[in-house]
Amino acid sequence: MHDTLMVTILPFLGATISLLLWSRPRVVKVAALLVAGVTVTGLASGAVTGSDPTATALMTLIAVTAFVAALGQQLTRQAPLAIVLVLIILGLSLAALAGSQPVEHMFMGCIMGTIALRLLWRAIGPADALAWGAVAGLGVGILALAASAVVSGSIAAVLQLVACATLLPLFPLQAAFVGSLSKLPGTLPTFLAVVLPCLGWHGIVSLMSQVPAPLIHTVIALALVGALYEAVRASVQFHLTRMIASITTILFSLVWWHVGATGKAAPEAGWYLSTVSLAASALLLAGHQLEARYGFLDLDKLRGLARPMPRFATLVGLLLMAAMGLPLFGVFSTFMAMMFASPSPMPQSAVIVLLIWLIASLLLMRLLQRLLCGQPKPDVVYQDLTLTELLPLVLVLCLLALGVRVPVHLFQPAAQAHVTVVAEGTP
Amino acid sequence: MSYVILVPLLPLLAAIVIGVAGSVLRERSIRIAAPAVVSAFAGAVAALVLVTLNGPISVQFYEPSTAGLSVLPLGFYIDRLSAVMMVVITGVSTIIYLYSMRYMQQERGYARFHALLALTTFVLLCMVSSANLLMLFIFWQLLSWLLYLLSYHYSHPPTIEGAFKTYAVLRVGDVAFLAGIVLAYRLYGTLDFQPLFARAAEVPRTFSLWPGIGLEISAVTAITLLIFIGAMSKSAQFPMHVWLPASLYAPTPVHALLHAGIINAGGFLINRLAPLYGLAPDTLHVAFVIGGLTAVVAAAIMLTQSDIKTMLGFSTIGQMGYMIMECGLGAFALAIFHLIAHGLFKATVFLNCGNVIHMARQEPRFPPGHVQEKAEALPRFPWATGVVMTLLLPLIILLAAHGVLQVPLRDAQGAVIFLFFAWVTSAQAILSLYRLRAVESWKVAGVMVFTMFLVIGTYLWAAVSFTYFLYPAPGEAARYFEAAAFPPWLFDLFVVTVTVLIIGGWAVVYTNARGEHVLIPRWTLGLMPRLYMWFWNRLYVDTVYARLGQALSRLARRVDAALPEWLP
Repeated sequence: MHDTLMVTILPFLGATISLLLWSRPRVVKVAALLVAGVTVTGLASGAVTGSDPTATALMTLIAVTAFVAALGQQLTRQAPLAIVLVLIILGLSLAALAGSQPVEHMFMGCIMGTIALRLLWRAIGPADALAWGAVAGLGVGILALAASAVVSGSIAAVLQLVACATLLPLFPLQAAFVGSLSKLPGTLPTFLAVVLPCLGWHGIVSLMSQVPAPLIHTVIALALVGALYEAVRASVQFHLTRMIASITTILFSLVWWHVGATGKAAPEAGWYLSTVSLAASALLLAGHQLEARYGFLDLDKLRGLARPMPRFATLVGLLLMAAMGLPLFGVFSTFMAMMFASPSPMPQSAVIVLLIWLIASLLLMRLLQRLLCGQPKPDVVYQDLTLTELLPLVLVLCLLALGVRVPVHLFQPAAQAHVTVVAEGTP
Repeated sequence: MSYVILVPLLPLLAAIVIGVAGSVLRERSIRIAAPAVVSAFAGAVAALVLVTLNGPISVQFYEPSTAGLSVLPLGFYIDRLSAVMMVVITGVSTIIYLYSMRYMQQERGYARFHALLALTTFVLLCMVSSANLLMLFIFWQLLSWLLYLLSYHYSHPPTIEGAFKTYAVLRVGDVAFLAGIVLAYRLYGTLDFQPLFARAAEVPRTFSLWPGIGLEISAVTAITLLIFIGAMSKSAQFPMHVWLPASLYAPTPVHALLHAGIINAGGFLINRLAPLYGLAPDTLHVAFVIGGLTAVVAAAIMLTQSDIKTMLGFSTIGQMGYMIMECGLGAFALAIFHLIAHGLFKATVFLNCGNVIHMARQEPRFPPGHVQEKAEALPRFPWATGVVMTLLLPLIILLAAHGVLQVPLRDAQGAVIFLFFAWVTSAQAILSLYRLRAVESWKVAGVMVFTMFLVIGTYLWAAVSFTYFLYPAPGEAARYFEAAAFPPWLFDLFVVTVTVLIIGGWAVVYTNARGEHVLIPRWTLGLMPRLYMWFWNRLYVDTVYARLGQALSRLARRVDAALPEWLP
């Protein structure tokens, strides 16, 4: 318990130190790296042992992403604020995952509040509908959490599910996720791409047994409708981070489908969620590196990066390959594992799921082509990534490659199919 | 661990070395790649001998159940089919490397090209020697990705569009394949080949398409149909063929590998899962129809094209249709024989086509303009020889087999299929030979006779020795023919149709040679230009896909504009 408390407090300590060193972004970055590094070491070495292995795994993943986000942060004017917010949210999320239910909800609410405040503080104008939508979504999440504390039974479960749906995006509550990833500065979106879905998932794990059965079917329907809705949104996008956020939402809708179809938060879906969030996080980081160079992320203006930025192109190509579920990366194997663990031989909704999977990979391919292919623009001075900038992307890529895990029992010749066969013919 | 793992590992090693040190090696990268591929070829030949003498080789890198982590089940299963495919792949790669040595010199991406080619060879080798369906699928998908990387230039707009088309079509196939795998695992609990085949054969199961409505389908049929869509995409079957002509701008050696190696993946897949397909007659019939349609459509389109690479591309599509059709008839070994022959032939043709294009760019008198051939007096001797060899001799053989030898041809569709393929091939060759005008007629007649015996001899060898070589289990090949058997009336209809086509072909050749058109009704002459336009425009399939894409894009824009911005 003491270890967990220590790991949770450490990021807050780092955030306080960073605030004191505000005027020296480089030192702030080093401090954040130290804090995140120590947290990762503590969690990965097993020095911090929690009762819940899922929570420990998620905490490690979040801490690693914080390290990557700090490492990839460009030393711009916004860097100290972005880093401090990463550390604060790291502390809050670790506390949420380590704590039991009322405490968990309190910290989840704090995280949503922090993000909402940051969105509001960025002086969003009345015309910035996406940011307002995100704030509204986060507000719904906070209210749902608060309301769940005063009611009980299945109503409380439904309210908590609503809060989870704002974090792990489910139609029509995806605004908080998409808005946060598209509108926040620096590498904060890189970090939030992992934190928000992980927290949402952790909430679902304990919640599913209490959710009323009719709501499960609604969840499946919302997941599939939401995926198609986001597919429409993503297909017309020209802003890089917004497009990544939309495609990630499509991929996360498959997690909701699996939860609905199986009626539980199966470990396979958790693994899938982790790998997808990591891939999205790295893509957002790549976007941050571009934004630091060119000041914009308009896909119609940025193109033809393959030739002038070969290192960037190779890494982004590999990351997109991972995200679209090609072997030998974790998204592929975890998606396979998730599909193998589906509830019946081939549920009818699985056809739609495969269609969604196809659409997502086509959208990612379109993104790759728009970004990397074509003639480079003559009025842009291109500069490839430096080795320091490459490092965080390579790190995530390695993590994604290490995520090639498929449950062993699938390949035991003696394994028996545990399925309900509709009818058996005569030999 | 067997030495055969060196066969795929050598190209991989070469790819890694060139990939890492390509900027240093540049022109010298061929010195790494070529020896690796040639050694792999030697290893593949040795593996084929070994497998033929001692039976299948199974290589497991680790015991999945004892491995500390849950990892992908990697391993090799090399039987005769795998070994034959390994020899073909490494053989074609060797030819391509030797050719590329000078052909690709001074290209900017020389090292990258060799690295990717070596990697593709590795992926192909791993695919054909996969120990289970999941591993096969992994390399199947990697092949799609490599195809995208190899065939397209990232700063050439038409190529970029073609690349997306390729990826989209192959991805549709991949997703269908994935659905088949998931269904197979969910129903039979394993993805290892032998247990999967055994379990599928043990208990026939049905699978409900929509519970409550009563729409049911045999589980094996559903699985094989889904996997067949994957095969269709890779082997460019109608209407999923559009990606192959889109790869027109790829370097010539890449075309050679694509048309001689990669595109055969569909035929290999069906052969690898032959025991499963042998349990699904409906899927085999679908394969026959799709293959036949592809063969006819692609051949007709090829005749109307003017670009040499496009023509060869549609020729490949047609041959793949032919190969899939053979699979649909249960002649799995014949399909493999066909893909080997086609692979070697098409690789040579494509490599030569590169030289032709170069020559055409440098020599103003090449290619020569269209020369109107004057109708000459009908050479009677070759004509008579052709008629005797393609019409009378087969009839005599048929009567002798049926009457004297008492072969029950009506019950042995497999034998008739081989006979018919031999007949069609030799008739096609003889019809082509008949057009030779500058050669003395006795020589033409002599070549016709030789061709006939060569074709019959080859098909006999393919029917007996090669089929037994690939499927040595007693009765296995016959079982596939039985599974693919059509109702007798339908089979008879096919036989009669093909017979009429061959006789009709002779009649057209005869009348054309005499400058007459009496056998062709007048109304068909009016139809010809229209048909020509349709086939010249590739039946507008590409246009339909493009319009569909544009319509979807427009719809998405309209829907997006109507949606509130605050709900992203």
